[in-house]
Amino acid sequence: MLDQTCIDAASSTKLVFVGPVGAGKTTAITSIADSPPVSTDMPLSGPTRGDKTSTTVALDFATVRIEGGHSVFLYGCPGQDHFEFMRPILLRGALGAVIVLDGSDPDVVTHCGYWARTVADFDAALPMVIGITRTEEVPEFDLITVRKAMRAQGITPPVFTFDARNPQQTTQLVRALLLMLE
Amino acid sequence: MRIDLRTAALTDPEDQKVRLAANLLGAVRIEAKLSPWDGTRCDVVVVNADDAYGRRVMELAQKRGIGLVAYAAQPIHFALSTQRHVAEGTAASLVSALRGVIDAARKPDSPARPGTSAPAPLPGHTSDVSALLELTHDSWRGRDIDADIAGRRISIRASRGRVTAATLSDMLAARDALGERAETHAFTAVAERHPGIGEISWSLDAFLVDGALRCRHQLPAFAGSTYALRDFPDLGSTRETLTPLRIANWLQQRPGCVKERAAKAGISADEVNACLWAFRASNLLVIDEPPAAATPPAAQAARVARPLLSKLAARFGLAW
Repeated sequence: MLDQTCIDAASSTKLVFVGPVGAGKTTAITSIADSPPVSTDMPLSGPTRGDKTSTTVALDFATVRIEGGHSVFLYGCPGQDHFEFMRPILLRGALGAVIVLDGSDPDVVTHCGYWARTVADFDAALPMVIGITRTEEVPEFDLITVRKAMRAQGITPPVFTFDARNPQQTTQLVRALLLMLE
Repeated sequence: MRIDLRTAALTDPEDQKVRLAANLLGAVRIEAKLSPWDGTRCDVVVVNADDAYGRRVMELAQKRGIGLVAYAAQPIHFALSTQRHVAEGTAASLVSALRGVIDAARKPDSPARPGTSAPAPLPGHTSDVSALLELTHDSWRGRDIDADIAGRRISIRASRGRVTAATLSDMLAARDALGERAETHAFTAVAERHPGIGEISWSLDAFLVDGALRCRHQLPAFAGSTYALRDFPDLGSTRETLTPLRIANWLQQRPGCVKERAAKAGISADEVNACLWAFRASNLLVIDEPPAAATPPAAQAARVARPLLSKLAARFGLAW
């Protein structure tokens, strides 16, 4: 799936944030981008989660400027299944994927397996990191079960709990991803 | 350590003494939250046993195993060390009684608190090392335990990779005291999935890494020469972000002698040592044997042009 020609000539690259609706993808992108992301938010048509009243329908897009006038493009995939067709479009040519999950969701383990499998099915060698938000709100949150579920699928990415609003913690996920390319 | 202290049927002078005593407990690092008895769970209740309502509360406290201090004109003999009688006296004598009840409640041979299962202390095990090193011991590593570190109670839930505390200050103080000598009976094993203390919930890995790095100058050299990780530590919320991340990445991708590699990267030996102790305490580190779990597939360096990757890494605080 990797377009080698494009990569060799590239003066920019991209990171893709994937995960279910309301997990915190847009918030994570906003926390590390140089400017607020261009979002394609629309009112939620399905059940709402917390205060969330809108959701990304096509993509989130933001940039991070790096030395030499280059840029890192940050893309956020829509979480709803009926926008599934957007995922391979956005993942193509990415240097890695950050899977963002909601730790307060009782189905977090199922979501984790689903999204990790989605990324791995697209490109088994695509580096990925899993970031789980809102774990501090749920004393019974179970990281070990998430790890076991990943191991059972033969996928062992770093799994971090983090606050998507915190630039340092979101950066930590990106660093882990970059270290996999070192 | 924080306790929930209740009062029932006290006279005004008794109530004033309890308030004074609650403040005085702060001198021995016990933070007492004082409120009237409302029938719900608490740590200690102070009652006036000469009053009908006070006696009723006393009976309930005895039935539920709640710590009890009873004011009464006539002496009352209690069978348990978590229940004491006090006559009219100074606030200091009340503090002494409260401390006796609190200390007795913390000992493993005391009756279980209401709403919790009885803890299972490990017999004959006493500690003369720091709390962090104690946590790496086979008796505790990978187990769910309630811990008392520098007078702060926390619940380590290795089965879920989390640590909980009643208050943020308890969590921070316990983390910062991981390098201090662990007290006897500081740790109590509990059943797996047993609810933890309080609502403040943190990553266990981040808690241990931050605590270990804070006391890195006091830690002995970590044993063994080759190491590997079972799983990548949860380092999303660590205060010190780069060093543990790099060490974990090396251990995960290429198990072996991380110390030499760290030295080449300019990471100090005591930082490496602290991370190894922390990863061991969180039951992630395997010493001198191959890792049980498969390491992740090596990422393709060609995914992004090397010069661009270097600039990208630098932008996010990495350098290679």
